[in-house]
Amino acid sequence: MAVVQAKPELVQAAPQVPRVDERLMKPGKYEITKDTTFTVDIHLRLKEGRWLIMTGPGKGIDSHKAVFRMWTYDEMVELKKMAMSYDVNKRMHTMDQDALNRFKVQRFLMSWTFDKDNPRLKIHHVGGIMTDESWKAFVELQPNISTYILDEMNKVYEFNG
Amino acid sequence: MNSTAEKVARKEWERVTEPDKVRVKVKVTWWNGMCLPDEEGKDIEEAVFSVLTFGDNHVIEKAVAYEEDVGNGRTTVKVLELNEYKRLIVKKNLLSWTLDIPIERDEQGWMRPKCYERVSSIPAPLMEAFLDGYEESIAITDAEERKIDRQSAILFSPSGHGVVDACEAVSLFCTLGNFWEKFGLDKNKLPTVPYREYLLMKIMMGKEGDSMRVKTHSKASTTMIAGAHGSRPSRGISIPM
Repeated sequence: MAVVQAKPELVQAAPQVPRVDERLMKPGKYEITKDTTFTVDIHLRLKEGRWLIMTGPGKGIDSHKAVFRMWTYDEMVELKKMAMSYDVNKRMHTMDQDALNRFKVQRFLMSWTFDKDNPRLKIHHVGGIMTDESWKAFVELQPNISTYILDEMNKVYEFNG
Repeated sequence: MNSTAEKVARKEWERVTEPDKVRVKVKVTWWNGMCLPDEEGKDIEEAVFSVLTFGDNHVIEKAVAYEEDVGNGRTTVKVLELNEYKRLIVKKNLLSWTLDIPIERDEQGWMRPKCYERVSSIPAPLMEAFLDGYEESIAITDAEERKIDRQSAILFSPSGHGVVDACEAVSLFCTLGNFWEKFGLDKNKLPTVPYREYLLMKIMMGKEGDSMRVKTHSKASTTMIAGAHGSRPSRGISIPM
C-alpha cells in the first residue's frame, strides 16, 4: 500500500526587519546626515555693471551664502560613474568635470540666499534632486559667481576643505 | 630612534606578522561636524583591509568588466569600471576600522548590505583616503618597474653574476625560489625561520652559487688557435649554451 508522506513543513524565513535597537539608534558621529552641511560664502561688489568677487564682507558688499550637503562615499561613486566615460581612442577613462559639477550642485546644493531678493532664483528639489529649472537659475548667474561657487564647493568635496 | 625608521620598521613588522592584512592610517581633522583627511591633522583613523589576493582581483574584475566597441564596432576592448571596482573592494576586503560603525560580514565573507549602507554613509573623502592608502600597498610604481627592468636585464644576462642592492621583486624571486628549491620553505614559513639559521643557509647558498660559477668559467676551451709554433686552446670567453 502506498504510503503518503506528510508534506515537510516549510520553514518560513524570518523577514529581514531591522532590530528595534538598530531602528532607534541615531547615526554614528562619522555618518553623513541631512544636517551634515557646509557653507560657501560669496561676497560681491557691483562695479561698472559687473559683480566682482570680494575676499570678505564690508561696506557696499553684498554677502550671500550657499549651503551644500556633504557627499557620502556611495553618492560619490554613483556620481563619478555617471560622469566618467571610456575614451576608446586614448584607451583611458575620462571624467567629465562639468557634468560632475552639475550632478554635485543638483544633488547637494540645499539652499542659498540669492533667492532672498529674487524669488525666480528659488531652489526647488524633487525627490531630493534639484529641478532642471533651478539648475537653469544657477547657470544664469554671472559666470564668475557660479565658477567661484563651484571652486569653493570642490575645495571641500575633492580637497577635504 | 629615528621616527621615520621606526615607522618603516613598524610597517614591515605588520607585513611579517600579519601578512594577510593591510593597515591604513589616515590623519584626520574634524571640520563642520565631518571627519575629513588632513595631512596635518592630530587625530588618526585606521582601517584594516585583507590583502588583495589574485582570487579577489579575479572575482572583482569579472564583476566590473564591460566591453567597449573600438574601430566602429570592428573589435571590442575589455574595460573596468574603476569606481565600482573600489566599491567592491570595500565590500570584500574592509575588515575593521576605528570608526564607530561595526563591520559585519556574511558566511561568504562579504559585507552585509545593511552594514554597507552605514559604511558607505561616511564622508566620501575619508573613504577615498583609506582606499588610496590601500592601493599604495598594491601598486607597483613606475620607478619600481624601471628598477625591475634594469636589474632583471643584468640578472638574466648570460654573463650575469647577480645584482647589487636587489629590488623587492628580484629579492623575492631569488630568495623565495632558492629557499623553496633547497629547503621547501615557502613564502608563509620563511618569516618564522630564526634569523641566524636564515643567514647561515643564505651564506651557504651563496657559496654554492660561487662554486658553480667558477666551475662554469674554468672549463677549458675546446677551440684551438693555430700559431707559428703549433696550436693552443683559445683564451676567448666561453659562453654557456
